[in-house]
Amino acid sequence: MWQFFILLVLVVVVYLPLGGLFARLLALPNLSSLVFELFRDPSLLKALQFTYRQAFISAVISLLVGLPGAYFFSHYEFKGKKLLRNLTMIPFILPSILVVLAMIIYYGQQGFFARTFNTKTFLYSFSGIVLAHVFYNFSLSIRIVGSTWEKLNLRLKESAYVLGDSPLKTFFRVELPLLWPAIAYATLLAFLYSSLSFAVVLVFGGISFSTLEVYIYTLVRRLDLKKAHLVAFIQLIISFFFISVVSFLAKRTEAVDKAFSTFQAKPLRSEKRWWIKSLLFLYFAFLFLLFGGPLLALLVRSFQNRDGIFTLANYLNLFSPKVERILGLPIWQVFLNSLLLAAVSSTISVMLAYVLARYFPKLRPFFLIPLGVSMMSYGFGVLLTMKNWLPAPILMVCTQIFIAFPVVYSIISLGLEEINPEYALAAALLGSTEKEILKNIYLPLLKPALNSAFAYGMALSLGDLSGVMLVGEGRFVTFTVALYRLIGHYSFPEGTALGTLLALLFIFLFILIEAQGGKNHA
Amino acid sequence: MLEVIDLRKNYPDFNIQLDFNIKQGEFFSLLGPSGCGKTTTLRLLAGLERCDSGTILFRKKDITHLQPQKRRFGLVFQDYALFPHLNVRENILYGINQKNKSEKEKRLLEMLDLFQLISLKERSIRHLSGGEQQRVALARALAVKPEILLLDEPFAALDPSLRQSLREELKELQKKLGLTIVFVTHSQEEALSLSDRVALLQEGRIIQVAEPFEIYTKPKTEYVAGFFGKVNFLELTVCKKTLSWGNTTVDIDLEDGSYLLAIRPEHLTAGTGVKGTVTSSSYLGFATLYVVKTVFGLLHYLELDSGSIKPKGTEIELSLKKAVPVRKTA
Repeated sequence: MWQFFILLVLVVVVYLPLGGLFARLLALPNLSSLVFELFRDPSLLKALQFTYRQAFISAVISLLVGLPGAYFFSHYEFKGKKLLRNLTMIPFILPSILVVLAMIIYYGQQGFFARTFNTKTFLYSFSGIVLAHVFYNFSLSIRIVGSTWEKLNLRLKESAYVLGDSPLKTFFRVELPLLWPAIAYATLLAFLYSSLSFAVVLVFGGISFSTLEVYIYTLVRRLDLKKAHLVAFIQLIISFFFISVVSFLAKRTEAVDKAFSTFQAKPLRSEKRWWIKSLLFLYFAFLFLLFGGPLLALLVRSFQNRDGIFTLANYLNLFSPKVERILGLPIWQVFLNSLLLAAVSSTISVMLAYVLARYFPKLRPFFLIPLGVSMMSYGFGVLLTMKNWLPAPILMVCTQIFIAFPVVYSIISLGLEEINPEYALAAALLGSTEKEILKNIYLPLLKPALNSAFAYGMALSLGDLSGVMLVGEGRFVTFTVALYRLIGHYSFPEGTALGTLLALLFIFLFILIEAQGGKNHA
Repeated sequence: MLEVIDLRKNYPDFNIQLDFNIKQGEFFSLLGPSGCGKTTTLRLLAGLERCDSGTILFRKKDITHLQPQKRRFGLVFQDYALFPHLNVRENILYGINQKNKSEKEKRLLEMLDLFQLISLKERSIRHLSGGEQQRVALARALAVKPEILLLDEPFAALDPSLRQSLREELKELQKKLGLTIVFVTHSQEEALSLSDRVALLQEGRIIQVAEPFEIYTKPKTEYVAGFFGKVNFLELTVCKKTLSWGNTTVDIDLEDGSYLLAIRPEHLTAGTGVKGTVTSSSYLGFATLYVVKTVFGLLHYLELDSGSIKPKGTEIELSLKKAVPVRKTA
């Protein structure tokens, strides 16, 4: 019975706000005229159009940038492959506001890039937004397409050769038809993430560009709550549509991967041809120039004063009264807030996920829904349904669970799938109680998945900006909010120091996840 | 029809060196344990692997460096490698480049008919059983009318009862269509029952090529003798065309000298000769295999349908029906 209580907790935390959003919408007086009015509002139409146009372009470019990587990683063996593969994952896990800061440092007016190539900065424009989204999402196609491509049975290609097809013809007749679910999946996922982008557009979009996320946030700030409610609902419906397409494609990709799993993969031979090696080098140099540069620039600048001389002042200044004035509270409290919030919500997510994955395996698709739901829609739902009867810190924890839970859940449920249920049966036959089975069998076998899920949950929670800003209503300051305020006050030196610390924390979490067998789930 | 002349392929810890030829219409098996190079040999023939030196002649034409696309050989992999995104019909039609639609359709029907696949024509290959997949793979390979059919352990993924019946089907098919087949297997039983000739490979070299009967009865080396089932190796002396066997002598058509002899368990029978005691037995149904302790050491002895199983410690006397010389030792 207690399992149902846990299920109820999750339903209240995650689905009640979403349901509330819908229920309260129906209760609005003269709803139809509101909707009618809304769709004549050019600012909404502009936000809608911008959201999906930039997401489409970002997704396509992410795919194009990632595809060569997917090809290289799946076809060649070379020195440092594992390290490179891990490095390409890093942008994906970093908090978006940190990426924003790193890009300002590198591509901004005073940045290395603009100075080296002597151009004006393009950051605060459509291209800047797209570049930031590509920064985020290119590794999705490397990972998803690459893993299918790697598993694609060599003998399928060879069968086509023997039956008379050239390698090019084979690519179009055999490889591409088998790769397309993975390609579509990776692209649509990039599209979904880009469409839900908040921090990037908030900073780079200025007054001319806003995604639906930013649009809802602005409406709430202006206390235009009815309109915010409607837009949040529209956003929710659109997300549901894309989530179902994404999960369909995910299933197709999985089916293709499974079809290959009976085949033995041929071990890749170390690559010796010079022209392939140079192509590899060029590709990774390109990635580094575009995406590694910002992170490196962030690190370097955090140790420089305005004249480029080495200093630790930026770090020490984080404790200064000036920074405290900007943030509204001392920096150590920001650390405490963030880490505590992330640790608590991640721990709860892990516990929820373990119980739900173990006792309700059939509800899996239901648990994964929040993965693609807009934070703003959810956050608005929280404000609507829970604000009056729950204290603010609990609301914060709820939003963080909302972010962390689906990923934590999918890591743990995959981990559980790998455990043969016969172990538990065998233990039961040997006389173990349920508790002993948990302690002696599930926990030890699941430990890597649990650790990895916890670290992932921490990372997601620490990286959240939109939830904290909407639900915390500006009174709750975490790392990301602090970074946002420092950027807003042009306190870039202190920003780089805080950003570097945050980046190191994330890289540490990433290493932790990788060390546990690298269970990454988009 | 196909001549392989001093074909070599080197790997860091392994190399292949081969000489053999295959006649038109022949069922030729490459037999050996895993890792002996038999699959690589097949891949070299298909052109999927490049050799380091040597020549492959096909109908007197050098095809050593010809691309796989131009060899017109059929190939069936162990896992069949059917295209998972295509259905049965599309898989079979994959290699047919006919522009003429009715020709194409005709060939398809021939293949569907030959392999009894008509009812499965539109089925996705994900929904086929192992045996059905194998038939589709054969149909796909044969649809293009290949000069030679290369088969890489086509029965390995199937369960034993199915294996038996498909083996017979394959043999019939080969006779019916007059196919030339190169067949890779690690099963001596498959090789013996299917082949016109068997080539036994060991560490990248062919040790013996012969007809099944000959390779079983006249093994060139201990390895060949040992590969085809259990065998007792004894070094014995032949004198005046007789062999001393315990209390008796056995006639044997060999010059005087010492020989290493291969004695199969079924070539020992209860009778007079060498005395021993049973140390263990395994009941096989149609027969019982005993391990008997004798003056020659432990001997394997197969007794057909004896009515009862002799317990451990039973005294027994074995006579020798037949011994095959492997080599002369002195």
